[in-house]
Amino acid sequence: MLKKEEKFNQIIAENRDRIKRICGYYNSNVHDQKDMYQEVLVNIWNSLDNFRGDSLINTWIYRIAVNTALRYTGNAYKHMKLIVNDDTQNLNTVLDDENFEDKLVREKQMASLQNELNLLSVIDKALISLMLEGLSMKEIADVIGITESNAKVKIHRIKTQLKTKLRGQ
Amino acid sequence: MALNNEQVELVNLDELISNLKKEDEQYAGLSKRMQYLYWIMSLIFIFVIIIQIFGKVHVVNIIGNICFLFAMLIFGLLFKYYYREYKYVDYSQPTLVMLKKAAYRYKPFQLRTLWAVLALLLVDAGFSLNTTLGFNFIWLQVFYLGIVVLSAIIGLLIWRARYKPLRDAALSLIREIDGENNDRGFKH
Repeated sequence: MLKKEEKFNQIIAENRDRIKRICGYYNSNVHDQKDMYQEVLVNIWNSLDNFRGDSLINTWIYRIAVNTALRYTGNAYKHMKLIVNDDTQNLNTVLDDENFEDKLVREKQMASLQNELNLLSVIDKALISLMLEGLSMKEIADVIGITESNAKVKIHRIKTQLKTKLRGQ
Repeated sequence: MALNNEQVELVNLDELISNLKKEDEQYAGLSKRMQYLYWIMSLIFIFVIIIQIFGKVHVVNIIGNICFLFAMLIFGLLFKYYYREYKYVDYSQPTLVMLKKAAYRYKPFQLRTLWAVLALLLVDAGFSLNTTLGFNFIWLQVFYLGIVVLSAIIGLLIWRARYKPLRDAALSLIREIDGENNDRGFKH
């Protein structure tokens, strides 16, 4: 059986990029990303004894990352940002449009999308960040702790609102 | 701009692990020491009670020490079960579960508070019944209950300043996830 330290190192080695991306979604400056990255690592360490393998390791990591983001932003959580840019993966899934990303760049709407995303509520931002990570509805539901159908309804509502806002510009 | 590998390397993993392990050891050490303290105190009271029973001490004094003994046992068990819960939050739970636990944790009055109140009343009974301590009953009540009430007021003020905002934030997020705010998805 692996020692806690070995298990921790293995998890970090396998999930470093995933954690980095999540930190990137919630913080625009590198210093804040680094602080959050470190806090996620601390929370992984402190939660490691409770990992029984009931959930997939990536769902487990996303839970810790999203929960840390909510806690990390602390009292200022209402001002929590969701940052996307040209490099963000799965942007097309946000509006169910394969050409969405190209259109955004072409029509210079990236800033508008960014603006609209930041107007979303905290939980909606968390849901979108998990979508951008390419998680299935079931996985998103597992991370947040809601039913799959509830996750679908919430994400459908967010997408509809975003589409309406972006088309109206 | 996301973190690049070089910046991630600036988070020194070895140093971080070493600090975390040190913290784990400190936590385990403190937790053990506090528990030992309560158990040793309990054993001392058991010893004193046994001596008093055979020493023909007045039964009221013995009851007073039994009250102290139960108070120590309650404090010891409360510490054992809740210290870890307050020390480490499990971030690997689903967000909704974590928020509900946080809202409960930051609630000023919980069921477990009744156990602490019971232990405090037992200490009061212990001081009052134990005539060998020679305390004046009235002054003892004024002094002891005064300290308890004052501590409760200070605790509530600290809660209001430090923990109430956290509880309010958690409750607001719970309402949002539970769907009560669905009609306010955008916060313009």
